[in-house]
Amino acid sequence: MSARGTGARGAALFALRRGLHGLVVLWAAYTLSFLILSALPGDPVTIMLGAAGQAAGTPEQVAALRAEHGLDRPLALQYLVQLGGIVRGDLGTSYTSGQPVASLIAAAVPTTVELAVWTLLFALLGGGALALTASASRSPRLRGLLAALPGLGASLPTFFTGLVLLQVVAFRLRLIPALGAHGFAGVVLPALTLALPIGAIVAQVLFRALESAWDQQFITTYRAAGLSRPRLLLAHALPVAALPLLSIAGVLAGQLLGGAVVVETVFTRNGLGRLAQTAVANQDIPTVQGIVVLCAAVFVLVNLAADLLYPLVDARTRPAADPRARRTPLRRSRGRTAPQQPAVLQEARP
Amino acid sequence: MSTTAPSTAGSSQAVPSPAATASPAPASAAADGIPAAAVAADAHGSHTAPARLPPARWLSRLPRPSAGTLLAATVLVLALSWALAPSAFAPGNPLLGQPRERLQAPGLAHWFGTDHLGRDVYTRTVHGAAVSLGTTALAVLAAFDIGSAAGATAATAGGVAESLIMRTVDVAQSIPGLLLSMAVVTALGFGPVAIALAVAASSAPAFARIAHGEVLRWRSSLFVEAARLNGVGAVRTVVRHVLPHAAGPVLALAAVEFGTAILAVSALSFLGYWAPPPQPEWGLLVSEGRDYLASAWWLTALPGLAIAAVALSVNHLARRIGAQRRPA
Repeated sequence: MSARGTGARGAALFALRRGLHGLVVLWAAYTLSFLILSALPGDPVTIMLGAAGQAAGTPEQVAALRAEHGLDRPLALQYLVQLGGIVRGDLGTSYTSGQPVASLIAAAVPTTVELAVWTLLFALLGGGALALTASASRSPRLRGLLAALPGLGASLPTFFTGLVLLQVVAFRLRLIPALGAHGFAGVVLPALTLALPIGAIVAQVLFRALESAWDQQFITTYRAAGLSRPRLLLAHALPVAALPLLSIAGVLAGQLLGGAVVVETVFTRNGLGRLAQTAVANQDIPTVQGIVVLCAAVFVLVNLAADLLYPLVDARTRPAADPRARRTPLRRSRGRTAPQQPAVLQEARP
Repeated sequence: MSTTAPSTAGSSQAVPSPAATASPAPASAAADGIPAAAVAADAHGSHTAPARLPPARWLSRLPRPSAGTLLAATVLVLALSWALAPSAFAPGNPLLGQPRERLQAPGLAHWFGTDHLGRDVYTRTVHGAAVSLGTTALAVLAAFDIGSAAGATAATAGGVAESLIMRTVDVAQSIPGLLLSMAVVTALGFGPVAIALAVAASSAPAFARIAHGEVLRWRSSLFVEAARLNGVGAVRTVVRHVLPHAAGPVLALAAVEFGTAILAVSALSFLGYWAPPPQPEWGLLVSEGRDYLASAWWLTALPGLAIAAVALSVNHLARRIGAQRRPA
């Protein structure tokens, strides 16, 4: 940021406000998941005894289990005790494995992060290339065809594409071992599978933003100045069109985590998604709740990061400390469409 | 688009007639600049959905369907016929296998091949359509009801109730849809109804949001105010005069959500939360075929293709409906 002093203080206040808002959302997400998991019918003790292979425990066993997991306390107290635990980083104990949920999650996170990084890379590259090609193509037929592809990618069930990839690449072509491969060979197929629906969102958002960028005046000015079409697209339209991607970052993160459940189950990777899948299958409430809260936290953090990054990359959304300072830059920027255009061209515009 | 409709019949009165039906007293309607004849015609005509065109006219306004739309409609009609009359398309028994014909590749005798028990996969796919599509329909219906009711209530009630409902909606949307569904499955247990409610829980917030916005939009319109001034009760005003207008965008969303819900239902049943295994269901069929992925591709690929085809068709038609609603 160029402006220091009041600008920096304004930015700090802005960050603080967004951070507090994120904490409130996180608390509310925990409360909602607690309400769903604890207030709906279904007795966890019966489930635990069922998981242990006993059809119905003796009343003493039931009472002992209840006391052990604090289920004999009133619901409001359980809620507060759990909330206190979450603040201290304690997510409770798994019903089925007896291990702390926090350590189960910590063990699963690296696998999912590896998947997420490769998926994002593939999705951004693939979706970006598709949107750029569609936007650059001059034949309306080709453009329509390319623009329709993301809808196709988003409609395919993830488990189906995953199994088809596994079938063709691993079993037919034998390019990659089906299971147990480490490093890139192990992650490429799951990442490609998950990148299909995510890349579809990226392509759709980017294509729409590129289309509206073409109509903006600064592009017209550059075009009049004789810039080539590829250069216009890559150097001037793309930076502006990439901004909306930042605002859907939270949605993309949510899609990634949700998709990881299916993809990790298909490819039997021991990540967060597979942990969630088995926890639900065993009705292991503390683990399910821990993962739900973690996902909400990721969503909140990604949105927070996007909110804080936005002013850095887009001068139009920069918050100002005092209202008098806010007025001038906004008024000046109203006619301006891109922060990175040179001053000469700005002056030349009517 | 309705402003261009020529008024040939009382029921096709496009813009002014909502005000006319909303105010039973002709004097007040005439004061709003509405011809008395239109009011009189409307007074005899039906009071429901005045802005809607007669079916024939509505159909003729649709652009000629493209090849893709026709294909999508064909797929949907076929899937619906499978669901309604499975035995007409596959007379065999989906649960009974012939051990001698196990793991047969697709051919003339078995279009989709057979599974490890010698059961015909085509028969199982056809018979699975009813539960798969039925569960999806139940999910969308529940989400539609719960979500629209919550959104409409929030917009009507205002104040604390509104912020409570709408903030809950915000928070529900901060949890990934599939994980929210999985939390509901954990609480409710397994089975088709639990899966339907779980999927409904993840798509209800979208309905609540759009219903909230639509009711807010129409509530401040002149004809609703006229109804209120004429002493129509609050609940009756909303049900009779606000909801019919809000219905359009909410129904368009329902089409989109149906496509999402098909994928969500099949994903949840693929993950193993479908209670009775012998009953064929599309996601479950794919999941059962996983063990034979290396040797029998048809067990996963062909039922999976059925899900993909239906989801694609629904999404394509939903987009067409959406484009139809927002003329450029």
